[in-house]
Amino acid sequence: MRDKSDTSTRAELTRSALAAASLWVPVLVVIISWSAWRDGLPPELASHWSGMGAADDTAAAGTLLVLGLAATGVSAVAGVVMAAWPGISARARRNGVFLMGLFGGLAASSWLLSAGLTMQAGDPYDVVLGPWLIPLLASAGYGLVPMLISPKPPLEATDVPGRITLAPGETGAWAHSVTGTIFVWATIALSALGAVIYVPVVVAGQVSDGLFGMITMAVVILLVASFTRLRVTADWRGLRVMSAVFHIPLKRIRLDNIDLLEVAELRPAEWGGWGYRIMPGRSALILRKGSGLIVTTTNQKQFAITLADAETPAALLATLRDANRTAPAVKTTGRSCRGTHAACSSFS
Amino acid sequence: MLFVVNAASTVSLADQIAVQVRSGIVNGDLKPGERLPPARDLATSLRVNMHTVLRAYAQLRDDEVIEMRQGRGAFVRQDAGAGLIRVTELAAQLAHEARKLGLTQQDIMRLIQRGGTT
Repeated sequence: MRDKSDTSTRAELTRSALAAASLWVPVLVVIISWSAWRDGLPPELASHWSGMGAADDTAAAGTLLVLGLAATGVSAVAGVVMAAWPGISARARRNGVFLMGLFGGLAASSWLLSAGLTMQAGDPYDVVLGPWLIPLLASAGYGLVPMLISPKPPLEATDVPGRITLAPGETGAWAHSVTGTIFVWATIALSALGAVIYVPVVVAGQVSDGLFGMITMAVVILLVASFTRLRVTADWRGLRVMSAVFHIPLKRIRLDNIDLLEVAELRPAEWGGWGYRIMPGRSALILRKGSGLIVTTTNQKQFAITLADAETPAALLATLRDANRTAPAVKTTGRSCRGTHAACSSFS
Repeated sequence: MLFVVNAASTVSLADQIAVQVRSGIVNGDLKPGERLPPARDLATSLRVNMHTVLRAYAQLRDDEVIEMRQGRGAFVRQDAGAGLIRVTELAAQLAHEARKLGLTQQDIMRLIQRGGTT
């Protein structure tokens, strides 16, 4: 056990160090490009554009170089501090190195474009940014590199203490219907918006013009409407969230994939807001503020759903999960029966 | 709400489900107007035959606890209050006990009428 935790700590330290090191890449890009272009670099470089046309302001090459080095350097140093600081949480560290990477990436690409494009054009006032705006904006995505290298924040969860006592031969199942009021309003709002936009189009007989938009709108409305009425079940299969409107599963977590179950107060701010939220490694159905069920899966992902009586499904799933773990050899698929579930006999 | 059925029990699975719906209404887990889980889903969840659940729902419909809406499923009746359910249960218990003692329906009615005046 100790060896394992030592290894994981070492791996986390390596990943933190690599994440910090990756923030030095923009600094190196500025230095290497400067040393390669040094001889051909004009004294003045294009430094400001107000639109897609030619540059409207310039700056001395030395000033831009210092600015580029300072901006990338500051983010790199900040990254090292974040990686080495012991008191910072893994989540804050990931967010921090993301911001630093974003900042460093933008600074390096700004320098590269100012210097590179001015060298090509000759006169700094002739430099047109044009399509180069896209790679400039995309360079902000460099923040993802240190973020993804940085160790993942550990999922905090404690297992629910309650259990449902099931006698031999007893089968337990929990079913509950929830109205997603937020999705009801969203459906109404989207339908109204769709009507305002497309009814005049239909009336004018120009259906073919707005066909693509109408189909997109209809698909979005149907998607949102599918969350208006949800059926949540907890049984031998695991946790399921079904759309009661269209009878389609929206979320399924199999019983043998359930690691921990927790009943907690779900705050929308902690789960990315209201509605169906998908974040890296975490997803949630936040329909209101209040108690809910958090499921941590064996592959270290979390799903949360707001439920009025979350204790019962949590205790039931924990009971079934424990029973499943003690009898792992028997599959729980379809109509197969475990010895303890005499209820299966009624299938015959 | 939580459903627990025991296949080893002498009480039929349909009766067990029906009793749990009734007690769900009594203890407030199921509210008037609330939709019951579709029979097919509940059957899969409880690993029982769908007709077993349908039998339970039919029994509850006959006892005026739930109503079946065509194509929409089973709903707890608006007038299915906790009191009514309790009285229904007591009446069934009374009828059962009275039959054991060999009392006729008239005897039972007389007993109830006498109980109402005291």
